[in-house]
Formats: sequence, structure tokens, C-alpha cells
Amino acid sequence: MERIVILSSIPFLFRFLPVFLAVYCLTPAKYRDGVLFAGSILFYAAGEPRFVLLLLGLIVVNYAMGSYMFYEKEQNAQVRRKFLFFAAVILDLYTLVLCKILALSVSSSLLPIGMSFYLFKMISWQADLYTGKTQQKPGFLATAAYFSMFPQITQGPIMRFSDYYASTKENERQKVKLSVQSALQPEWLRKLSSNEQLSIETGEGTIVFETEEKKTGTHMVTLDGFEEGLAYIVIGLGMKILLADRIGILWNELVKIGFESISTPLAWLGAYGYSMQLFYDFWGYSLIAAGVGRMLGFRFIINFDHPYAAGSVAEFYRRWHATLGSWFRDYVYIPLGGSRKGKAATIRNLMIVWLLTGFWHGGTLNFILWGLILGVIIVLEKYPLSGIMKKTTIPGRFHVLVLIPLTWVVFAITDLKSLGVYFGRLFPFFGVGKTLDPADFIRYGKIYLPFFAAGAVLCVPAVYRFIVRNRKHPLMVLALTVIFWWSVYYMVTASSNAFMYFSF
Amino acid sequence: MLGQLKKTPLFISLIVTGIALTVLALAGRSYRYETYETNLLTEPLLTVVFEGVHDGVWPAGAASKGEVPVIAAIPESSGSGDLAATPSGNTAALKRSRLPKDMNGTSSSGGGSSDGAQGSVSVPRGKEDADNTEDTEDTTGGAGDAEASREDELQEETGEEEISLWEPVPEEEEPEPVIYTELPEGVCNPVCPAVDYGVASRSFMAPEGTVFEYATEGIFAPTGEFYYLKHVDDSYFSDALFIGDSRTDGLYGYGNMRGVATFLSKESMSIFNIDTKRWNLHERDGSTISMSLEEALTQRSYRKVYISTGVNELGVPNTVSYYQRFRDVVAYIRAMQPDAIIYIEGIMHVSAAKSQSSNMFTNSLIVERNAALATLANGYDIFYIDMNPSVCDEEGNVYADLTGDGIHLYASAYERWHQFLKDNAIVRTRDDLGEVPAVQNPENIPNVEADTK
Repeated sequence: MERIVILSSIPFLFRFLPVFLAVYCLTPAKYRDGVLFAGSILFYAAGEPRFVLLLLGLIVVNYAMGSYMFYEKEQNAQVRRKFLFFAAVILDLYTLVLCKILALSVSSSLLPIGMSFYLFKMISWQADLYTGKTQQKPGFLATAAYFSMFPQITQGPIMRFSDYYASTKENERQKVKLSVQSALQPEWLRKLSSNEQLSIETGEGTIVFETEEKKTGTHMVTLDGFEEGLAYIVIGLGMKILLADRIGILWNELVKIGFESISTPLAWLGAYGYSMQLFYDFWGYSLIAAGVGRMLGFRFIINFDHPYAAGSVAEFYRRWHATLGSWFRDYVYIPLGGSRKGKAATIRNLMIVWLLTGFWHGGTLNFILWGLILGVIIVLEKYPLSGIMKKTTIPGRFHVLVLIPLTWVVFAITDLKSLGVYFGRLFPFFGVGKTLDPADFIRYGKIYLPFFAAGAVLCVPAVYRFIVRNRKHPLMVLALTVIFWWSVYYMVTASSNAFMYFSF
Repeated sequence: MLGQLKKTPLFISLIVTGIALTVLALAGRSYRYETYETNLLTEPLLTVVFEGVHDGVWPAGAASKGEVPVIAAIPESSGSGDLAATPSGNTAALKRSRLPKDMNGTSSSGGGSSDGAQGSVSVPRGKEDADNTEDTEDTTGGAGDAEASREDELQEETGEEEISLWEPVPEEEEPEPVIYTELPEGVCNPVCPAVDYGVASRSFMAPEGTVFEYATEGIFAPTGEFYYLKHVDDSYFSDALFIGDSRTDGLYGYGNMRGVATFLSKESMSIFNIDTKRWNLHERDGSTISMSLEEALTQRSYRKVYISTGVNELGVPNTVSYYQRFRDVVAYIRAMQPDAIIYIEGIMHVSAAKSQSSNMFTNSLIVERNAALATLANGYDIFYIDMNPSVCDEEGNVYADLTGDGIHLYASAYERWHQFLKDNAIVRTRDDLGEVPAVQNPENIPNVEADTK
């Protein structure tokens, strides 16, 4: 039962999701916040029964403090508002840091599933309320459903309350500012082409247009949204199960062999294999989560926007786990002054953000190191290298395609000594370790070549867009159907019956 | 309405295929999938179709060739009196079967069904030629008799001309066989003392409280013969076949055994699927061919067959079914390779971290299963060896610095296993030494010096 919280599991896809969708659709729209909240709590309770009360407590306390802050706003009591805001943020941060430290020092089971995600939602909710971005007083059920909504609670994406809220308003005209990249997303392309009341202004690299969100009733479930969400779920499943999980076996093999014994080419293959595993695992998962959200009538949340097509590390991280990056930008970097207070302050702010990002991913030293390395590369890109990078794309591409996979190695290996050994194998100039089988690269290369090829092809933005754009073509429907059942095959044999299918 | 449905082609496609799979599952329920259990609360019925595909069981039509278990139906190849009964009750006559007594079903405590076959224990004698079944002699006396005659048998053996050539170390240099108040009859190891686990024959169990000071030194046959475990060199393995799962595959890949021995191995091998799937046969010349167990055992005769599976079965209840199935597989190998020494390798333990964090990969379960496996040895041509001392600490946990995932050895650690095999070999006659004689001067075969650290 606890496997329900895994979106790519049989119990979730064949039991929880269909039942929930049926109840959700049959419920009148205005009660759907409540249904979503109740369903999400059940979902969470199935996976993490010990901490469901903690989640409920945090929801109630955060809502109480937020609504009191709202009341004080009406009373114009600025000091008390400020106090309430900081108290709420400190409470949330304290809980998060405490659980992370307990997880590190006592047992990893003490970090409740998804806490890093739902607490970040709570902090952003408080901040939006405090700064006035959220203008109307949010209702309790809407807030609680936003905090706990099941597709996002375990691994994100970290949706903003405005995204949750926006979908509950009807036919609102709004100005949308998009980067050209995002505007090419099929969802927007369709709007751009179908919406007659559209007015477009183009700025530098961005498109600003005014659009009327059609059919954005209160959690309006539409056949279009349903089908679109389903397609994203299937694509995400394929990425996660057929690509990431398969290619992930390579990394397990390296762990099994022991880093000190692998050949240098195999070490590089491993670095790229792990990078792809992480990418398709997380992108796939985000697509499933966003797809479920789409089925429920929410907007599609873009969490991964073809990061490996980026021209610099800074851009890479605007496209990789974008909801986390923008969270740090909006709630840490900009409040610290962003890049407006001079070079030194900018560098300091960037390093703070990346140090915190490292800590957010995990408390061990390698994550801190990972964050610092990225911070340094981004600072280098912003200052000393910016001149070169404007002239040629080579350094930026090199950063994304060579340095980023190396940083993932730092991310992957929590033990610093093993990390040193791995880098000793990547760069075999220091006499670390000894190749036991010089042909290991060829052996594993042969096995994993199809997965690397598929992974590389899917890195090309046009391929993904082609799939999404043509998802209703009969051949694509057939392909997606095959991908779905093929994924189910692996889910059934690899995990739902783990007892029966050890394959060592 | 229809127009609306056209908007959702993928949804319709998934629903239609889902219904079709459910129909297949329902239709196959009575004859194909009857053994599959589903918990309908957490999974749909159609999952059995996928489990079936995984196991090579298709919803319709006959299972394709190579997927039919061969071991359950051992052909009656000879009318010899040595019988080994399979758990299903098939009486399969196995030529030259020398399986221990309880294989014939005379002991059934805790094992559930007794197959009821009439067991006759064939106890080999020292002077017996390995190929000659007529030399076997039925005894019914059990341990007591064996013990009484042990000294005589040893005497007989050393007095035998052919064997004496191969008594490699002069009598006085042999370490004194460890004499316990009650001699252990099985092949037990300090890391894995045999315990009463149910169907085990008591005669193969160490008495409670036995201390195995020199446990890797030798192996007692129930007849009282004592085989010293010898150090051999790699040529010993030239006519050996190693059968096993990913761990054995690792031994092939990283244990410096390429070109030394033949391997039939692949990850996911278990004692239950060993005869239904295809594995990789790594020949000594470096070629690798996909092959079934049956083909591998048919194509050539081996002088030694090492078998090691067990980690994939830890999730499958229970020790009794594991033991029974292992017994049938050993009987099958015995029948297919009548001249081979069969080495049953004890399951390698896991690291302490793995053992503590998992409720299946526990060393206590492995110890239990090994104790059961050990009883399959007959001390004559089926031996149980346990490499755990070469990779485990005193508590029987695999050293943390020898394993990355807690289950497999690091590549660099496989050499310990290889060394263990070289240090713990049975050499009964010259023929056992391999195609290329390992040692020109038999006097120089060194004593066992198992480096257990």
C-alpha cells in the first residue's frame, strides 16, 4: 500500500488515480478543493503514516498564521505582520532543518517524504501573502489542498499558489510573459494560434501576450486537459521506467565493481549514464506529476525545459528543476538584493543560493561541495567568462555537456573518499585505483548503447516537441500505448513483486 | 458524444488494451495463471499477464521450447536401484545417485509432504571406482556404523594402490584430523554451523556446541572417509563448470578465472528458474554462448561442477522449498554428469549494513539456508564448501570494504573467492586434478592454508 505514493507504481496508476479521478470528477467543482485535500491526505497517509499528523499540523499552523497576517494587513499593523511572517518562515525552516539533521545523524527515516517540497510551498505561500502577490484571502481548503496536493507532495514540482489559484478563477484575462523557448511549448503554441483575442508584444527574447484563459473554471476537468495529462503521464512513465531505470543499472554495476577497479572510459560512461538516469528519472517524474495536475484541471507546470540544450550552466539551471530554481530566485536571491547591489554582493548572493541549494538536496558534504562548484561556475560565467561566452558558444556548451555530468558525479557519491577515487579513475593521472578489466567499457557500452542513444535523441528539444505535438496521430497513440504497457511490464516485474523478482 | 471521445484517442486506446489484457488474464486464470496471486486491492488482475510474460508463460498456446522445466521430469534412464525422488512424487531413477539419505524422503520432519519413496542409501566405499555403481553398498546402520568403520575405511583407502599414489602428503605431516567427542558428519563451517532446520538429516549435523577449529581442513564422508581439502592450482578448474548467479558471474569477470574454467552464469539465476531460462556459457577460449542448463550439461562432461545460487531466492519462501528444489537440481546434475565432483557452494553472506537494513537479505536467513544446503553433501562426490570465511568477519558479515552494494563483492575482492577455491579442493584421485596435471610431483602439494582474512 505504501507504494501508492510512488507515481510510477501499479497501486497508484491502477488504483489510487482512477478512483480519485472518478470521485473528483463526480464532485461539483466548488467542492473539489476539499476532495483534493482529503485525497491527498489519504495518499500521504498510505506512504508516510507516521508523519501525516505533522503535515496536518503544519498546514493548520501555516494557514492560521497566514490568515492572521492577512487580518493584520487589513488593520494596517505592519510590525505585527512582519513578525507573523518571520515567525511562520522560521517555524517552517526550523522544522525542515531539524528533520534534515535528524535524518543525517539518527536515521534517514526521520525525514518525512516530501517535506522539502511541501515546506517550500508553505514558505512561498507565506511570502506571497506578505508581499501582496496574493491579494485575496485564500480559503482554508484551497490552501490545504495546495500544500498537500498528491501529485506534487513527494517530489514536486514546487507549484506556486498563484498557479493553483489562477486555475480557480474564471475567464480571467491576463498578461503572460514568456521566454521564446517556453512560448514554443505546444501548450502555448496552441493558445497562440487559437486565441483570437490575443495581442502580442515581443521584447528581447521574450513574448508578452494577453490571453484569455479559456475554460479555467474552478478545477475544471476537461476532456482536452484529461487527454493531454494522460499523454504527459505516459511520456513521463516511459522516460522514468524504460530509460532512467534501465540506464540506472549501469551505475549500480559500477558501485558493485568498486570504483577503484573500473577503467577510465567506463568511469566516463558511468558519469554520463548517471547524468541521464537522473535527468530522465526526474523529468519523467515531473511530467507524470504535471500530467496528473493537468487531468485535475490545473495548468501544466514546466519543471524541465530541455536543460541539456542550454548554452551555459546558469541557463541550465533555469531549465532544470525550474520550479526549485525560480523558488530560490524569488525567495532568496532577489530578497538578498539579487544582482542590483554591485558585483561583490551579487557573487555573495549567488554563492548563498547555491550553498542552500546544495544543502536542500542533502546534508552531506558532497552536496555542499556540489552546490559550491555550481556557484563558482555560474559566477565565472557571469563575470570573467561572459565576454568569451558572448562571442562563442563553445565554453557554454562545454560547461553543460562536460562539466555538468562531472558535477553529477559529485552529487551521486556521498562518501568523499569514494568520490576522490572516482575522480582518480576519470582522470587517471594520480595512480588511484587499477583497471581490472580494460575491456569493461566495451562490454557495458554494448549493453547500454541503445539507452544512451535514446537518451541523447530525447535531449534534442525538437524530438520531444514532435511527440507532444503529434500525440493524437494514430501512430503516436499506438506508440504511447506500447510505451505505457511496456512500462507496466517493468513495474509489475521489477517492483510490485520485488519479493519474487530479485535479479542478482 | 462520439465526437467528444475522438478528442481522447490515447485514453480510449489504453482503456481498450487494458480491457483486452484483463480478458486475457481472466481467460488464462484457470489454466495458465492459476499459480499467480494478485491482491486486487493494490493491483489489477491484468498484472498476471505481465508476470506470465516475464516467466515465459503466455496466455495462450504452448510455452516455447527451452522454457519447459527439465528438472521436474527426470527421465527414467536406468533401472538401477539408486532412487532419488522428486518432491512431486515422480520416481526418477538416477544412475549413480549418491544423494544423502534424506533425499529419498525418509526424513520429513517439518518438510511437509513426504514423498514416500523407498530410500536406499548408497554409501560409497573408499576403494570404489567412481564410475562403478556396482561397488556401492547399501547400509542401513546410519551414523553409528559409519563411525565404527571409519578407521577401517581410512585404512582401506590408504592401502589402496591407486589412491596411495595420490596421498600427497606423508601421513606424519598431515594435521591430525580434528577429533571431536562426536565426529561431525556433515560439512559444516564455523561461519555457518549446521542447525536443525526441519528436513535436514540429523546425521549431517554438527552436535550442538561443536567447535570447528580446523573446519576448512577437510570433509568427512558419512562412511568415515576424511578428505583433506587441498591446495590446487588453476589447472584443477580446467574441466570444471561453475554454475551460478551474478555473484558467480562476478567471479568469472573479476576473479582471474577467465580461460581457467567454464562458467554458466547470469544475473537473476535462481534454483527455481535454473532449468527454464537461458544463461551465458563462458567458454575457456573466451567465447560466450547463450545456453540452457540442459544444453550446457549435455555438450560435454565435466569433472567438477560448482553450483552457487541462493541470493535471488531469499525472497521466496521458504527454506524447505529452496532445499527441495536444490536437491532436485543436484540430482539432475548428478544424472547428467555422473563423473563430476559436485561442489555445492554455500550462499555468500551479505554485509552487516545490508543484513540489518533488509528483512530479506539477512545473514540469519542465509545461514539457515546454508545449513540446509550442507546436508545435501554426501562427502563422497557431492561436497559442500563455504567461502564465507574468506570474505566475512567473525560475526559472519561480509567486510564492508569488500562490497559496494552489500550483496556483491567488489571486483578487486573476487580474487579471495578464487583463492578459496584453490585452497579448498577435493582431490580423490589423479583424475580429479584436471586436464593438465597441476602438480608434477605429488609430494609437493601444499597443505591447506586458507587465508581467511
